[in-house]
Amino acid sequence: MHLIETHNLSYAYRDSVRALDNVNFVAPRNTRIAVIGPNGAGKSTLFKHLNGIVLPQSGRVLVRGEPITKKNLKEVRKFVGVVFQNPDDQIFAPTVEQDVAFGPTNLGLDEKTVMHRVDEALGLLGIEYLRHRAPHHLSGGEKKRVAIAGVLAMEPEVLVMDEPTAGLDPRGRDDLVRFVNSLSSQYGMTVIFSTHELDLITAVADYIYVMDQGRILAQGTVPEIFEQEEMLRKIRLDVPVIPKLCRSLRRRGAEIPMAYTYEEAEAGLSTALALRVRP
Amino acid sequence: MIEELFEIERLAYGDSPVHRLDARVKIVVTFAAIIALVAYPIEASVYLVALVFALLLGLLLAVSRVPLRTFSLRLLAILPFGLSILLFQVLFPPVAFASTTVVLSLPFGIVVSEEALEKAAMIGVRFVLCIGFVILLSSTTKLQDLLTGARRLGFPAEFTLILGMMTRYLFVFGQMFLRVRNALSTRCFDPFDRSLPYAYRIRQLGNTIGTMFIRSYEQGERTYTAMLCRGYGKDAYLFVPKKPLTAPEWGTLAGCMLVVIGGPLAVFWLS
Repeated sequence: MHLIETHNLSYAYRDSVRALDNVNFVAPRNTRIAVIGPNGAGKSTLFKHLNGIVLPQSGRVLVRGEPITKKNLKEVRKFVGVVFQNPDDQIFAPTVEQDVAFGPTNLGLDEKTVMHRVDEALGLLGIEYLRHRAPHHLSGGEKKRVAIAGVLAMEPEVLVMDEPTAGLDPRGRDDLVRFVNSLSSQYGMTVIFSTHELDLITAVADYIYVMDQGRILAQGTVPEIFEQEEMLRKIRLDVPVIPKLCRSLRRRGAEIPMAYTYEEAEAGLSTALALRVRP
Repeated sequence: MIEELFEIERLAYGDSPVHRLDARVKIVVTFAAIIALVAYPIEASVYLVALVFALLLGLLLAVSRVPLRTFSLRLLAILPFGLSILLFQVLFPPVAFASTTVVLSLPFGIVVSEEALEKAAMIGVRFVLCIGFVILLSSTTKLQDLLTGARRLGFPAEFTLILGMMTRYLFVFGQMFLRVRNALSTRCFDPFDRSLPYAYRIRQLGNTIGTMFIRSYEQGERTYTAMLCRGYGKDAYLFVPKKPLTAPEWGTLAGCMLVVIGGPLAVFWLS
């Protein structure tokens, strides 16, 4: 049994083309899953199914092996936290502290527990200093972190993030990468996210789903997916810079190992270069 | 409920000879019909005029293939406004009648007379028909086409620009509301959840509405700045290219106007 599974999930918005078409998606324990695809591929619609914001029109969504019903909706939403793309849609309380406390309060926790969770969540994202600020005075990156803290305060076991890096500066993006990796390594959480920043994926994802026009076009590990350059290009995506560079160098006869992350490439290239410089 | 907002225009995206008709023709015919109906004196022959207009409306409805059910529902939704006017008409007639036949005596000296009822019925028929024409117009014409049509008819650019932006942002905020609602339910907030204290739920709802207000205000500022960047000023208006009416459109306009103007005149002289 996986944490989340969907079986032949299909969904169409009123009068429009299919947003999801026979989607079979699996989220195992403690994995970091990237969902990539062009705009309008159905990523957000899929995410809305994972915590019952949208109920399946056909097919099934199983959370811990059980379908989402009215009865377990609260449990499901506590278990699967979703962070939407635009933090403004989510943050609404007069202060950051109150906003982060919103979720746990709705779960019916007592004040002491709520405060504890707020402390934890703010600490996890390193934004204790924002505690008493008004959300509409925050910068984009700060708002993003508040939005994530607001969901983490519910202590979900699966964190779903729609375009978490959209609008973040390079430092903010690096922080987010580190943060996602720590959620997985320290807390054993499963993180599911969508992104257009392919360079990010190699450093964060264990597994990739490629979506296009509501269908899952491909799935696999980082090397498995980024081997298929033609397929990715066909749906307006691309291969990240590092594997692309490694592959073209190898094609030209350079004897370097295939690399996907910056660290791998750095190690591989310096060994190769060192060999040539000092034979 | 908010989902209905996105449905409101669906009918107007249909296809029929009435849908394809230039918006100007539809606007002119609709307003002509309303003016003719309202201008006709309130006397017994108004029913005959009403019959002529009802036939025209029925014909146009049939051609437009607007479902009768939707049409009736929309009519029903507006009817209470007319009924309240009629109620006042019956209970407190604005004009004193030469002679009255009392049907019902109510306390406080309020009297319901036969004459007042008759007059109310005539006004009621006019009201229903006027609304009928407006519903036909709105069910077969997209909001944007209505605005473009009005603009081509010489409606002031200031109004069409503002109305156009209003409809645009109505949908923007409708979508924003949906996203906010999703975000709230993701964090397990349900305003009808009785396990949470009442005051708490009210306060959170208040916060949500307040935030939406701030966001719409800020959106307004941003849009205005963006408009300024593209040269918006007091002489700015929406671009509306010239488009002459086709011969069939002129024909339809002439035919409809003949009924709308000729019908009441003929009835008036004959009676």
